[in-house]
Amino acid sequence: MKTFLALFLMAASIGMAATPDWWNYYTIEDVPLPETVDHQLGGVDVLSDGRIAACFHSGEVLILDPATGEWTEFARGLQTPLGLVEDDDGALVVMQWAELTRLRDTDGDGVADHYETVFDGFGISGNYHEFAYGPAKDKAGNYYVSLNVASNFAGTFKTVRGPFSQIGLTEETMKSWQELGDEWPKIKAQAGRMYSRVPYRGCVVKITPEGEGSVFAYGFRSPDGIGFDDEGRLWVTDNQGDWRGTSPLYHVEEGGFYGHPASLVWKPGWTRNPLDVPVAELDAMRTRAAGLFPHGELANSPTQPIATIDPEQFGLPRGELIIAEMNQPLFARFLADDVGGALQGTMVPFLQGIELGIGRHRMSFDEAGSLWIGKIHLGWAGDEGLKKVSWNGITPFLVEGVKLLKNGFEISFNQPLGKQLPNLEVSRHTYTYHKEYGSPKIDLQNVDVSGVRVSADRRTMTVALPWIDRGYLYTLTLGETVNHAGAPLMGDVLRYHVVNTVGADAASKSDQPFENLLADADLAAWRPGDKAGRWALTEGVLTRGEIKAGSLNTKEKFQNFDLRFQWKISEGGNSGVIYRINHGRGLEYQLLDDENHVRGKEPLSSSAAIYDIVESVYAPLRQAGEWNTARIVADGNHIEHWLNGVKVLETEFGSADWTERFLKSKNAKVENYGEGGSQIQLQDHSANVHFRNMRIRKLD
Amino acid sequence: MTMVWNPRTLLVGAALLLPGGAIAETKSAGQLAYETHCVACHMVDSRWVGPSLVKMVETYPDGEVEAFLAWVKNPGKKDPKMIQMPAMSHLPEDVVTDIHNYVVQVTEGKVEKRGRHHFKGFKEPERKLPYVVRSFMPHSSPASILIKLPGDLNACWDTEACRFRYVWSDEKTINTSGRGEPKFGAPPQYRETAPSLWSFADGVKPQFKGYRLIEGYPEFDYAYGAIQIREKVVNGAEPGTVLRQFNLLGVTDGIVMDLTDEGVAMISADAGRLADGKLTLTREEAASFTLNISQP
Repeated sequence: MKTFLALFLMAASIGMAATPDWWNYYTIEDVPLPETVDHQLGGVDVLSDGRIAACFHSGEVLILDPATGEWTEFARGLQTPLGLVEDDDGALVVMQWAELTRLRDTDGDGVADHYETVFDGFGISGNYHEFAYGPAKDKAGNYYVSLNVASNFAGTFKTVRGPFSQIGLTEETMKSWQELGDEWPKIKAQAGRMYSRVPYRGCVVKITPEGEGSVFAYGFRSPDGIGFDDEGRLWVTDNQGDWRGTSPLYHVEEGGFYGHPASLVWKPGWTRNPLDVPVAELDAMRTRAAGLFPHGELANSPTQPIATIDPEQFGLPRGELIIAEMNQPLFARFLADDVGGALQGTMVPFLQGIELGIGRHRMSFDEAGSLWIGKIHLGWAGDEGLKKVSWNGITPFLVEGVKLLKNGFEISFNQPLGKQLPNLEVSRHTYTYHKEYGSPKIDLQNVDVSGVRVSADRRTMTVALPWIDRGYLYTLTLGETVNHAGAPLMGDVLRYHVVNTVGADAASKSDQPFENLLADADLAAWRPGDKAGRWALTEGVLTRGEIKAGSLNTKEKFQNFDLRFQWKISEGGNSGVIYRINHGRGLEYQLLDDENHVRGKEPLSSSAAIYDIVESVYAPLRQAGEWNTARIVADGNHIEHWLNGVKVLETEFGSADWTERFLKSKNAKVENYGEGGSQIQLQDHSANVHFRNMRIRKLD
Repeated sequence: MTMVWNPRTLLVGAALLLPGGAIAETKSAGQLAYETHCVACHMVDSRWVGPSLVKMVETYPDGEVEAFLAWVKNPGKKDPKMIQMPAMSHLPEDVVTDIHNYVVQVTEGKVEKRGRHHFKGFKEPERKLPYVVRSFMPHSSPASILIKLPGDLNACWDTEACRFRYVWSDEKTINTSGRGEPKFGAPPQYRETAPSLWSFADGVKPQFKGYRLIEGYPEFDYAYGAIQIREKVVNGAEPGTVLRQFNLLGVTDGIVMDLTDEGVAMISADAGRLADGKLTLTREEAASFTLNISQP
């Protein structure tokens, strides 16, 4: 009956040409809560026995028996609990303000009697913004929690937990902010808009089941959402604000830095005030967001990411994330796309509508495939209560995947497209990375679509664009899109964040073998005139001699090649790998100690740039004296520079952009610059430079 | 089903009735900017995180766009009960001007609804005692536990220093309002003031391991290296008394507890020798003993 009704409604809605309604596919219901607790839910988790555990802002953990609708109290007296998970043995693990706590019912009466401290090895300054989120649990049973930084609308308590970082405004000033009265607002900017003065504020912390904690990643602001996907990858959302032009979703890996600088003070050996670090340097250090939520459109304060379940249960493909949000009445689906080894992808609206309300904070799927949603506001925009969303068995017409191409996107659908092609509009914009709060859309432009092709089975649509700009969020609006049966596309605005672009990558297709350029102790691959004891190869490491050695050139000439090597340089050092040389000048892969060399301040002369012509977009460069991994791909007009596993530069030799840059460069007067093949040259620029593992493969 | 009467959702709701594609044309630049930058905190006609647009237009009526621009770029705090607005200095002036135009237009003829928002608000219920709850407390670390005992006594236990801090009965003793550190309004009846409680502490940071609830009373579990301590806090038999029942494991010598205190209450011990605020216990006595805090 339900299915019949829904079909009827769907048909009716199509007949009336109304805007698509998600509630033709899903139903939402309110779950009654007892009056004895604050109806703000910090966490919700479906237990292995099918009951629903929830923690409330008033400090309780209650458990619902869905069969009877009865709630019972399991624990009480917690402080701002913001998430909970179940251990294999049935204990509940809750993240609260001061610690990760394991709640055990040791006498079997259904009520926790042991509040075991799993981990309290992080700081509390007393600042009102130091929320503690999580835990997410990996397959090995480790917990991951994320710690909010403090807000400069207040200072800290005089009594804090944990060592007080001495970087920034003095400890005394931070602690006496109330006595300072009207002075505090005048100086608070020096604290940083959001700050980290006690350990590990702004970090994701990994905690073993036994309670050993360690910093897992740096660079977060208000990382409310933390969760694993089916493949064991950790995802964290953060909120728009300082250093967050718009709210991001990060794929978080160990040791990474995710852009908000306050937490850098907890990096071993770090001594500088994060506010004094040049933005370009922070920009180079940070990992880009896999996905972006345009502020006010898709999310203002995204919360938990949760992996989708069996499509037979909830109507969405497996392998996606659903992300909740505090301020807007919609969810986002995130469709990941692996490009060049990095995850990036598309946000697609899901379940949009006022019925959903706002304030959606924590989610959990039950055995039947219903999604339980706990709401919260904490005095900000948000809501209260517990909702349950269930799929009614009709699969909506959906975008299933968006794949970035070299010059466009390939959009796949779960059902064949109708005859009428979508009314397609494409735009792209970016955001400014800066200490200010948020960012307007920067460089917002419509993109002319070069062409659209639909596959024979009408499940794939290829959108060709003139080119793709790295670092931009592409918005593809698929207006008035219907499937073969006339059902509307549900979620028709695709927002793809281009972190890496797709190269022609003939390099990876080549089957020619790599030649080791440093195979022979006598440097057989190199021109004899150059070496004569001035460059030395010892245990596989090629070193420029102490005296003026002169540059070292290969014997053979290379035009199209894939060159891979490792390099390190002395403090303040400068060198380069030069190729396609004419009249002594060629394209140079710059090697520099960016931090200590004056040219490191200029993108065009920093490491991995094509010297003076094309800057690298971002370079996760290691410190002087440490090995970096580099790769140069020169394939016809297509040039790529890689640094430490990241494609940091991609350009088309001879394109309009290239020509404009070339004419401004120091090489503008060099005839036939960059044309044809040449020997490859290791530059002697008076620095102690070292190379190892240098291999080349021709692509001709 | 609860509807959330947020202006953003209402507008989308209204737009949904229109044929597809007509959404953008129905909204002014000011409305779009408001929905992007302001709606999270400001509703049209009721208080939310910030004041309503109706309230806002009283301060910044038509023609007061300069003052509106100045405020948005560098906001202060007009209502001490609200959170301070973040500076929106990243917005170009023409966008803020559009927003002001929209604020003036959309509030025409509207009055502010009473009440902050649609939440009922939560009132702390009468708690079954004893009640053990984590809280910010004065003169203790921010990781503290409040123990409300049957009768009218309360105690503060610090999970960072792993020690009992003080006892009070007067409600006015603790002031936790606002964003500052909680303060004593009136001195507690009993408060331990020695920098270090245990003679074996020797600068070692104790490890807090959690607590058990036994008939609702907390038994704290912590350790100094090899010394394991359990400390249960319960009501004494006499009204107005608090007992701290200790069990120590791993003590190899006699120990001294520095129980120097301030306040009107008295402390006594059922074992060892208590003199000048110092309790001396043999190794055997330290295994299990009770302190009794009583009113004068």
